Amino acid sequence: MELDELKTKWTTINTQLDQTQASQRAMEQSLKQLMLKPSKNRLAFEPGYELIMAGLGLLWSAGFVASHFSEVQKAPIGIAPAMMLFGLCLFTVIVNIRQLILISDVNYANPVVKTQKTLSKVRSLRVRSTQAVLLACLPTWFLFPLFLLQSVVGYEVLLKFNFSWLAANVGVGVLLSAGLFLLARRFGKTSRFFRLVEEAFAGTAVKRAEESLEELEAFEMG
Amino acid sequence: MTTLGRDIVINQARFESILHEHRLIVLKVVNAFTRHTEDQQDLIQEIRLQLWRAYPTYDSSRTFSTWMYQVALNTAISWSRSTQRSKRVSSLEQTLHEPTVVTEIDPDLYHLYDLINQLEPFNRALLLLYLDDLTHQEISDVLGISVSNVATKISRLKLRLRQLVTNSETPKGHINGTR
Repeated sequence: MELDELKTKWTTINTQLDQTQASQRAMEQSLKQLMLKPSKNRLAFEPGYELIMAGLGLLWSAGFVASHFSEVQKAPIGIAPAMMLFGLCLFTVIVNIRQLILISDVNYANPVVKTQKTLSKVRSLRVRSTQAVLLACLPTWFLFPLFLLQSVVGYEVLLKFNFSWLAANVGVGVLLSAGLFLLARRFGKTSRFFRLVEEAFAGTAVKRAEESLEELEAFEMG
Repeated sequence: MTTLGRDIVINQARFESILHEHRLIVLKVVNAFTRHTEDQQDLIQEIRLQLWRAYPTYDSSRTFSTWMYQVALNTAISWSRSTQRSKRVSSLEQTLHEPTVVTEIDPDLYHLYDLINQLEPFNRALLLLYLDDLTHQEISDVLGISVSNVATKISRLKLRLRQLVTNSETPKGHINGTR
């Protein structure tokens, strides 16, 4: 059997396929739902949502620093939680703007390789940034409730905690990360959330994104 | 109805009419990327949606079928890569054995479907276009690779198919059985 011989058979079988009840049902169903169907393309939704949230976080942390400027000069350590949040939000804003710029280039009517390359870059950027945020935030989780406490109670509340208390919390953060890692390994196959966490820890999503780009480049180059 | 509203309705009707005319392209692409009935419906909807979105940018100097292939393949490849689809096999037997459709199945077609299933998404797209008799230039336009690259890849695919057939020890009688 040669590939050329199969062309005729291929046409025949696909014409028959068109006549199957299942295919007709699927086409009719899709016609009815076309205008009702919400977009499953969440490409722009997630970065857009994260951009708004990170923008708000950026304004909040910057506003906090500005409104406590005189206290910051007296006790600079108190600014650490706000700076942590500011840094995280700034990183998220930059990464999401970059993603949205790439997404604006996606056009399914463009050649397949070009479109898929852009999509692969978006995915790669996304999984890398998710991994970076997760790994940075887990051990330093306690800084976020501290910032919240400072915002509600006052700037000086942080100064009441001593260094060993902070060090102990870093330790708790590390232990929590290890616990989450074990949970992710245990439930990664059944839960989408834990699978994402597991992939972020293990770097498999990053690896997959890289492989996807390599596959594309290999196909393009021949 | 406003002029804008009427235009939309006319456009939609025109779109549906052309789409109906070329519906086989959608079915071929869908069948090459998934065989599970629910996934097929999902992918058909996704392709139609993307076609509808891209329709206003359709350049009428190009053939509609080539443009449609481009959108459908892009959608199918993105769809297949975006999530880990369940490895549900296969409604092919069900489809092929529908009494109204096929009474006798050529075993070679199973080899062909086997080959398609084993290919990576881009080679799958290439094979689909080749089997549909698109010229190398048209394939090159749809995929966005050079014409010489298309020729090289098709030769490799032919070689792969030959190897697959050679290595296959499947008796012809299995076709009517379960896989």
